[in-house]
Amino acid sequence: MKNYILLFLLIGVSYSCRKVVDYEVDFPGEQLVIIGTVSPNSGAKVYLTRSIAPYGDYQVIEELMITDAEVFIYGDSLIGALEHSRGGLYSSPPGMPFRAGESYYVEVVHAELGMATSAAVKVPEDIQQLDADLDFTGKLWPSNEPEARLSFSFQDRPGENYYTYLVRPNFPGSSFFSVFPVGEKNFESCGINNTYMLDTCLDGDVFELALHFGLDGRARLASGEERIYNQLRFELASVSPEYYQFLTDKQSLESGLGVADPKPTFTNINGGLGVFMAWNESVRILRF
Amino acid sequence: MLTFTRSILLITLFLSSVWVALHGQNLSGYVKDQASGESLVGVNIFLPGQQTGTTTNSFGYFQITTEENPIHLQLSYVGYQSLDTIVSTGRDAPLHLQLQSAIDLPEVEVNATINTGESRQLGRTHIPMEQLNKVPPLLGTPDPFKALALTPGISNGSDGTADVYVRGGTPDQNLILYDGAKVYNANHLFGLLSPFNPDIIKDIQVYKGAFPARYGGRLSSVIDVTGKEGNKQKTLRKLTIGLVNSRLMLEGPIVKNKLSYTFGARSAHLAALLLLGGKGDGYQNYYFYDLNGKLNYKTDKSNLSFSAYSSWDNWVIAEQWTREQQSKLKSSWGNRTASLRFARVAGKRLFLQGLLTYNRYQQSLSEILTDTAETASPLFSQAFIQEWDAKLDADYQVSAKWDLNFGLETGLLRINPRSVAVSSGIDSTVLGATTTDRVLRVAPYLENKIQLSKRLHLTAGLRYAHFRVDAGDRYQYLEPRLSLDLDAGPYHFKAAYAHMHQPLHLLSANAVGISNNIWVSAKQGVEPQSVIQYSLGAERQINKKIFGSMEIYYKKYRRLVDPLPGVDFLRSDLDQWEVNSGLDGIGRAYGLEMMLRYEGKRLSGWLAYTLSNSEVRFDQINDGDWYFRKYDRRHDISLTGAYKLSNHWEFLATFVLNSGYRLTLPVALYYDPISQYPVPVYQGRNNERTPLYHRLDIAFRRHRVFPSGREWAFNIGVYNVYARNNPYYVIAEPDLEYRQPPGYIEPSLALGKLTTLWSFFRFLPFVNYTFSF
Repeated sequence: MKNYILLFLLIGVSYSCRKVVDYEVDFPGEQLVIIGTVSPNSGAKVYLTRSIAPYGDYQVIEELMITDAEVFIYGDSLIGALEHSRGGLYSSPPGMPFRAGESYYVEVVHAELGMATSAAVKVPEDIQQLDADLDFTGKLWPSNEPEARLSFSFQDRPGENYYTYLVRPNFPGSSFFSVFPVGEKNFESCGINNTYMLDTCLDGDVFELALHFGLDGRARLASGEERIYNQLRFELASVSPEYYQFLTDKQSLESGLGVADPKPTFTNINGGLGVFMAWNESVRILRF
Repeated sequence: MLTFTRSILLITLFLSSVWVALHGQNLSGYVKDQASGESLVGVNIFLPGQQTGTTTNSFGYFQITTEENPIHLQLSYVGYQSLDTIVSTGRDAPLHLQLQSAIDLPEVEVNATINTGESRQLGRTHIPMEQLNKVPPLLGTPDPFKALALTPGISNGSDGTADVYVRGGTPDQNLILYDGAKVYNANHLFGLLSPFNPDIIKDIQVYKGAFPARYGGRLSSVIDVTGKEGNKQKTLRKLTIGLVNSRLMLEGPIVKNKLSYTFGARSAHLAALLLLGGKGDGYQNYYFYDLNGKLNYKTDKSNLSFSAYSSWDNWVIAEQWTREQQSKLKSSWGNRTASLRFARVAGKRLFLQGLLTYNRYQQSLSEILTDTAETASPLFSQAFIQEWDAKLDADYQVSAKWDLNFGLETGLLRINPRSVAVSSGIDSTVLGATTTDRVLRVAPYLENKIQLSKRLHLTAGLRYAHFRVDAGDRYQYLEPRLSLDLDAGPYHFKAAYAHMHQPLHLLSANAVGISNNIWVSAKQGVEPQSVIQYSLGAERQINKKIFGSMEIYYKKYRRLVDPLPGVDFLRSDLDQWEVNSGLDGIGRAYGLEMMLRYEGKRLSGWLAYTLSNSEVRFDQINDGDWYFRKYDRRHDISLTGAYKLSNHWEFLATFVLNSGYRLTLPVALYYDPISQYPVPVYQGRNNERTPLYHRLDIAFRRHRVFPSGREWAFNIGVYNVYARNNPYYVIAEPDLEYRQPPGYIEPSLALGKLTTLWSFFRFLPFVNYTFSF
C-alpha cells in the first residue's frame, strides 16, 4: 500500500517538469561586436565578432569571428590601422605608442555589417607599489588540492579607480583561475568581486588582499594534455570605468538570473555592440 | 482632479441635506439557513411593487423603508430555494426569514435571475460556498481563490504562485479580509491551495470596481471572506480525508439559538508520505496547517463574535554533505489573525457595527547546519507585517429611497521588510537589518445610496484617507466613490468611478513566486500609490436560464514602485530600498470583461472572458518607455460546468485558456573572447510572453445530505488532465558548449541560448472522502 501511495504522489504532486523551449524573439539583426582593449604595455587589441539570434541552432564561435574588417585606432587624430593576427583578433603593430592618461577610440568598417565606432576611453595611470606573495595555508581546497594564498598590496590613487586581478599558470595558452574567495570578510559592500573591484574601501590608501584557491602545479590543456608548472602569473590592472561597468553588468546578469530583472549590459559602441576599454596592467611572476 | 473631488463632495453633502425630510414605514430583519440557523450574506431581497431591493449584510441583516403595507418580498440566493412572501411593515422586532438549501432537492430549479442589489454593484462578485461546489475541487478541496480566478477580470499568477491579479493590478493591491482581519500572501502549498478551510467559510464578497467607501487602503480589489457562525440548532462534525491534506470541522450550539461555535483544522500529510520514501542523501519536506475558531453570540437585536485564525507553511530542503554533516534550508510563512465584532440594531433605521482586529504575517528563511558534534544556524532572515485596526460602522436608512453608511476606521501598521542574522561560530552579525516602519491610518467615510427614480440608483461616497508615516510625514487624500445604476427594461446599465490610495508597496522578485515578495511601506519621500478607476457595465437576463454581463474599465495609476534593472532584493540591502527602485511610476490598465451564466436543472456553469492590457512607465526603467506588467494577460477564457448525473452524482469540469505572462528575454547574443563568456543582449523589460496557459480539470462528486443534517461526499478527479507543461518559471541562459555541426571533423565551441521552462503540477490526481458524524 505504501508503494501505491508513493507512486500516486510521485506522478502527481512531484510531477513537475523541465522543458527546453525555443523563443523566436524579435531579433534586431546581426551587428558588429567589438571587444577591445588599449594598454601602454600590451598595445591595442580588438576582437571582432558578430551577434546572433538568441534562438535556433548553436553557432560555432570560429564562424562568428570577423576577419575581413578594417580597424582603425584614434587618439587626438588617426594613429593607424590594427592588423588582423588570428581568429578575429586585430592588434596594433609593434612600436605604436599608447600612454597612460591619454584617450583612444576605435573605428571598424565591415563590408556587410557597416561601420561601428567606440567612445573614447582614457588609459589609467600606472599602479604604484605593487607587491605580491604566494604561500600555502596547509589546508586542503575542496578540489583536494593544497590551498594557496596569494597576498598582494598596492597604493591606490586618489579618486575613483577600478581594478581587475587575474592569476594563471605562467605559460602561453593557460586558463585563468577564476574562483577567488577573498577571505572571511564581506567585501561585497566594497565592490570587491571575484576578479575585479573598485576602491570604495581603499580610497587613496595602501591596500592588501588575500586570494585563496587550490594549487597543485598541474594544468590540463584544451587538447587534454596535462602540463606541470611551478610559476604563477599574477596580473593586477587599473582599468577604465567602462571595463568595470561591463564586468559588473555581466556579473549582475549571471547572479541575478531568474531573480532580478535583467540589466542591459553596458556598451560604448555606436553602431554595434560590445565594449572598448582601457587598462594599465602590472605583472608579477610567483614561484612555488 | 481637485475640481471633480470637490464636486463629488458637494453632491454628497447636498444629497445628505435634501433627503432628510423623507419618511416611510421601516422593515428590518435577518435571513437565515432553515436547517442551521446560520445567517446568509448577500441574499437578494427584491420588492416587485417598487422595483427596488437590497441585500443582506455580513450578519444576514437587511432593512427597507417603504410606503407599502403589507409588502411583497422576493428572496433569492445561490444554492437555495427562492422565497416569495408578503409581510407587514411597522413591526418593532426584526423579521426572521428562512431559506431552504436546494442540495439534494433534484427537482428544484435554482433561478439564475439576478434582479436586485446584486446587480447594483458594478465590479462585484459574490461567491456563496454553494457556488464553489460547481468548480472541480483542487486536491479534493473546494478552493475559493481558484474559483475567483475563473470569473472575469481576476486571474492567478503562474502555477506555483498564490498571487491574485485583478484588472491589471499587482497582488499587493488586493485587500484580503477574513472576518474583518487582513491576510497577506494567502496561500498553501506554493499557491496550490488557498489558506482558508472551505468548511468554515460562509461567504466571499469580491469588489474589483465601485468600491464601497467603507473599504480602503488597497487599489485593485477587496476580497472579504466571512466565516461561519456555527450551527445554532445542533452539533455537526465533519471530517475530510484526502491524499495530500485532511480537514476537520466542528460546529454547534453552546446555548441553543444564542451562542454557537465553529472550529476548523486542516493539515497536510504530504510530509509524512514523502518521508516514507526515506531521507537518502537529500530530501524535501513540506507541511502546512491552518486553524480557525469562532464564537458567536446572537440575540434578536445584537451580535457579538470572536474569530481567530492561524495558518503556517514549512518547506525544508535538506542535503546530506557527508555522513556526519547535513544542511537544511527552511522556508516558512503564515498568518495569525483575531477579530472581535459587535453589531446591534439600534432602533428601526440604524444598524451599528464595531470591529477590532489584529493580524500578523510572517515569513522566515533559515539555514541549519548539523554535524555529529553541534548544530549551527549560519543564516536566519525574517520579515513581518503586523496590524491593529478598529472600525465603527453605521447603516442608517433615511427613507425608502435613501440609505446612508458612515463610519471611522483607524489602524497601526508595523512592517519589517527583512532582517538577516548571519553567524559564524560564536560570532553573530546582523546584516541588512531593516528598521521596523510604522504607518498610522485614520479614515472617516460616508456613503449615500439613493434611488433617484424608479429606474435610476446613485451611490455617492467619500473617504478621507490619512496616513502618518515614520519621521512624522503625513499623507492625506480625499477618495471619492461614485456609481450609477440604470434599470432599462431587460438591461441594467452601470457606471462607476473610484479613487483609492495604498500605503504599502511590493518589491516583487520577478521570476520566483514562492513566498519571496518583499513588502515595504510608504515613507518619507515615498508616497502611497494611487489609482483612479472608471468602469461601465451592462447586464441582461437573456432568458430564465441564461444571464449575461459585460464590463469595461480604465485605471490610471500613480506613484508606483518597481525594482531597477539588475536589482535582486532577495539578496540586496533593504534599508534604502527606494534607492534601488524606480519611484513615482505611472500606469494604465484597461479591459473588457464578459460573462455568460447558465443555470439549468441538470447543467449549470459559466463562460468568462477577459481582454486586458496593463502597462507602466518609470523614468529610471526601460529608457523611460512604457512596458507591460508581468501579468498582463491579454486574453483570459474560462469555462466551468457542473452536470448532475443523478440525484447524488455530479460531474464537474473547468477549462482555462489564457495568454502567457510577460518576461524579459534577450534579443541577441554575442561572445566575449576576453572573458570567454557569452553575453546576452537585453533591450526592453517584459518584451516577450511565456507560451499559452491552458488546462482542463475534471472531477466526479458524490454528495448526500441526510434529513438529520449529516452528510457525506466523495470526490475523485484530476487537475491538468492532459498534463500540459504550463510555465511556472522560465529562465533564458546563454550557453557555450562543444558541438560538432555538419561538416566539422571535431567538436568546436559553439554559442546558443538555452531557454528552460519549468512546470508545476502536471497531471495531479486527487481523491477524498468527507463524512459528518
